Amino acid sequence: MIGPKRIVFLAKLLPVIGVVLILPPLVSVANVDANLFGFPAIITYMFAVWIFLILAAYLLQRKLPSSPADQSEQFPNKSSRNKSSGNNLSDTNND
Amino acid sequence: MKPDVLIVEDEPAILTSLEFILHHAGWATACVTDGEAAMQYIQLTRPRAVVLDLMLPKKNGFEVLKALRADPRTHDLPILILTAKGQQQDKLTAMELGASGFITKPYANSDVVDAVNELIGTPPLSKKTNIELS
Amino acid sequence: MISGSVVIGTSIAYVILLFIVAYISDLRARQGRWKLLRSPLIYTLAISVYATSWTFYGAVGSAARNGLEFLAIYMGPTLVFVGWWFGLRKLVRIGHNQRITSIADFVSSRFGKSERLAILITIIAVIGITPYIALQLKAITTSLRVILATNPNVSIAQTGDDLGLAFAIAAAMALFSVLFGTRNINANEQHHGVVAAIAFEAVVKFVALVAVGLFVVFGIGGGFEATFARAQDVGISLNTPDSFGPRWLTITILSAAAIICLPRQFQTTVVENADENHLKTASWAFPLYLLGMSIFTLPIAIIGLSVLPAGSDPDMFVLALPLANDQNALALFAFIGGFSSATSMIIIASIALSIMISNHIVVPIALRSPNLFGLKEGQGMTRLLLTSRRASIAATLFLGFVYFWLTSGSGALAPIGLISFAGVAQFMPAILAALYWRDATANGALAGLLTGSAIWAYSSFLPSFATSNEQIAQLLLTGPWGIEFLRPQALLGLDSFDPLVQSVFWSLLANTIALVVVSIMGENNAIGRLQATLFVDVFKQNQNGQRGFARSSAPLNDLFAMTRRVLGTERAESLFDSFAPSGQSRLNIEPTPEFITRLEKELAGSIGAASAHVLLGQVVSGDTVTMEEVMQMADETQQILEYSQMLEETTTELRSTTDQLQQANVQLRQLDQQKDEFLSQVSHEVRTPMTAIRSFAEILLTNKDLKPTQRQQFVRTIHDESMRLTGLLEEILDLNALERGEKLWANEPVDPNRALNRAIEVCTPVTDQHQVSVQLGNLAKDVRVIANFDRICQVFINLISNAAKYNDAKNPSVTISSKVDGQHLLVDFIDNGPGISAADTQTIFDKFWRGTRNPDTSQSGSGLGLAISREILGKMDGSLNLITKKNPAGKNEKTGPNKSGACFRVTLPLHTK
Repeated sequence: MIGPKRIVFLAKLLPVIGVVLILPPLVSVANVDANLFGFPAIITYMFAVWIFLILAAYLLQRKLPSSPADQSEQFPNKSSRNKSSGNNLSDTNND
Repeated sequence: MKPDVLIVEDEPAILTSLEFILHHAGWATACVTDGEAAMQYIQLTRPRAVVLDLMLPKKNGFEVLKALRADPRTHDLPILILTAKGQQQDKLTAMELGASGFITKPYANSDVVDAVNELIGTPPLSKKTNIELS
Repeated sequence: MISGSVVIGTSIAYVILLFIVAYISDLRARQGRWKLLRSPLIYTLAISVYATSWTFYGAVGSAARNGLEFLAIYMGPTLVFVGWWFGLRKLVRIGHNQRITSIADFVSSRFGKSERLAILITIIAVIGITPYIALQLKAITTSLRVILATNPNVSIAQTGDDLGLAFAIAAAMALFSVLFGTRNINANEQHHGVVAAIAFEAVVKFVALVAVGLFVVFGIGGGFEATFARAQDVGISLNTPDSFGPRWLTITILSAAAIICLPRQFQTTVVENADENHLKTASWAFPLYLLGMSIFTLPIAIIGLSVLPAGSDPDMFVLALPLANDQNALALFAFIGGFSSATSMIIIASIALSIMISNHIVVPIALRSPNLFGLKEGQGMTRLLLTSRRASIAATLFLGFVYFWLTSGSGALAPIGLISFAGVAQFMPAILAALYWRDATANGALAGLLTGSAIWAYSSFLPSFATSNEQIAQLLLTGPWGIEFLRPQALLGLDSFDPLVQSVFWSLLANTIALVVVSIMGENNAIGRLQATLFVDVFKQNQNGQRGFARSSAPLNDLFAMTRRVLGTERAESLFDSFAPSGQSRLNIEPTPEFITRLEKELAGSIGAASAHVLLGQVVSGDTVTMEEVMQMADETQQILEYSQMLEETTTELRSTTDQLQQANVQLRQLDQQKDEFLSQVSHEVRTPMTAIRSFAEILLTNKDLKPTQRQQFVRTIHDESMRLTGLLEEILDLNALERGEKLWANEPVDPNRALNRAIEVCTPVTDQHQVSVQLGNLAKDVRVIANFDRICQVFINLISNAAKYNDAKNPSVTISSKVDGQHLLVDFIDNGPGISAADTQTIFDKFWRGTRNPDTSQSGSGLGLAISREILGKMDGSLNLITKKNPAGKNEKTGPNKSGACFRVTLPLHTK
């Protein structure tokens, strides 16, 4: 198992990995006139990186700790919020 | 003559005094000054009791005690332990190993005599040997 | 062939559908049934407002012209979202804690609630977004023209010119935004309805684009592979070496900045966020959405280029391809998709901008001059807010139209969008500094924003008018006053670089430098420091950002009146009621600092942090909040921070102290144990002579009839044992003194041979008693050692008597020799006794160690001799060692019972003249 500290580290590392993958010089490796899996190599590469990032983000967010309950939920007028949205004061910041 | 009490003690002065007081109390005594000699002597002559110092050359008192208790022939030989260390732990160890009595140095002479008497009964020839020694 | 009425009708029907969606959502929200509305899915879809008609239409155009470049627009946001833990999470947390209403509010809030900053950001945002809105207008106008052009019955005259069309669309959008964005400000300032409509539109545009894509790839192109196979023929080069050059990097950076800095993105991502954990879903779902929107971009571009007649606008391929294949329904759907992507952007952007305008420009002015706006007690500021927001929306859209008009709607979609991106990217340095750099100041942010946006306006915004304005076109060519150095698109004469790259590079560089330099030169004021801490250390606070007015003596009536003024009577009452203790009137509320803080946040939710703070400050302290109070607040926070830092340091110190203590404790325990052992040994050593003494004394006392010789013998024994006891005590004291480091003598040059002779002399009784012959080997002549004569004798005596006492050889002997070795004199004492067993070589110098006793010899040694000797020699910088003898050829001499014996070596420092 990977510890929570490592997960957080990976979460911070992921965008860095993404940057490295989509910028030269690494991206130039795939920038050749060749076909890969039936597509131009560069297309395959870019979309593969993209899918990798999405997958990694998906897997990481399941392991990352949840944020504490929204602070605004703890305000004293919680009951009034459910009673009538017109009186809801906690969410007036949405404008 | 078969001795009544074997004294095992490496300090010459103490040995002399023990020999004197036990003799004086009416027991025939023999003396050795180290553990190995004690073992040999006991196997050969079978004394009725042993007064055993703990700090001994070659084989210390605990080892002698242990060996004697392990041997069926000397399994119930009365053994009186003498020690100068006087620590509670030593006394416990000695008792666990099967010592018959335990006396801390320095002792009152009567304590030793009483303890030996208790182990093997009143000596038959009270005070007689005293003269022989002198 | 699609008739105009069908298109218009469908569009209107679609807008009505949006209304319904928005209305129902609002209704559900009102009824408290907003589970779906507050779901991470809706949140993610709302963020997808990022994909505007630029994505829908423009990406294809971009792909047709520049190949893969369009992907960079999505890479930036993807990186920002998959890295949400790093930046977005902090942004959202602060947004919640500080009740942030817009990006201008965020930056101004961080930099000491600076009004100037808020105004500046609002202005930049409005200017920056104007091209973007124009882009949407252009997209809708163009798409409408494309779809109607197929109909021969509709002439240009009927459709009107582009301008009229664009104006009509802008007006319609303004209406929609006003109706929805500001519809319900009185009751509830949430945008559930709008957010739901946006999410709905996100689905529509996605499905529309995918539908077109599927048709194009499989209906026309014959599959992905066949489609890509055509790429070469139509001139789309995917493998230019420039593909991933500076422009790629620039656009990636721009799009990453835009996903945060665009007012509408900030609105949907930060302000409309209901739950921080929704980011988790968005972190992968939003990039996935973008991926889905991009899959068909290149294929559509390729097929469009190969199928459609030359000269067709690539921006309209999405629409033109179904039309060219008589897929009217699909074309209509595609049109609606493009329409929805444009409208969603316009709605959210105009609402976000209107909030900024009303909160940061209108309200501060109104607060300063209440009469100007006819504000009356109790009437509330809501009317003002409502009006100003409606006006702002209209103004924003009008500006977009003006831009569209001035630029003649020319140029492709993507470049226009990039101008906007570069504009709002100017916020990025300030935002990053707000999040991570404590010492960034308001002036720094202001300077950076001014510098950056000025350069952007000059090098990016201005040139976009070149097509419609001769003077600007001239300016681009020759530079101002003919100074080529200052040509907007070739600053410093660098015309080999792409204009966009240049503009972004120079503006962001100058922006950052100005921010850093001005920040370093200046210092945050009190409130700035406070806010900096609340922002930068947001994750270190366990509570909401605690800030408050130092005094809470504000009369409740004043507070209520003021709140009523801002929120209106109804909301003010319900707000105060919610604070009142249960069952009591709202007039019983204690105006505690917590209450004031909370109130300020509520107000901030309506009119922005800076305004709320000023307003509340007026009431609470009777005037604007005094500087002392602000200082006090800030200092308290600072003190708390410093205190906690101190605590941290103290904790670290304590930890190391504890470690040291534990080590010391272990050492003490060891020492204690050694002391116990020592005492036990001393006790044993004392008890032994004591036993003899007592025993003989008792014999003498009880046996009156002892012979005189016997009596004599016993008394002598008592005497001897007493002497032994005395010697023992003396040695113990001696050793103790040596060990404690008490130097009891002075070292001086000593003749070692004289000391040796003295020692042999002293030992004569012992050696005679044991019949040990002392032999002198080779002795070093005429040497002096640094030592003390008496002490060195003591050591020698000890060694000789040891050699004598423990020697059981037949002809016992001890041989003494000495030699010079470098700066030392080595004196060896070699006996032919039993030697020291290997096991004992380590312990021989320990206290109370004794050699195996010879039963025939009486030992009077205490067992301290060697230990004392070693200590003595140590004090003379010498040493005492047991030398392991090496026999030649490794053979032990086994002549007789006496094996090799022992060899002690004394090392003494030589006295050099």
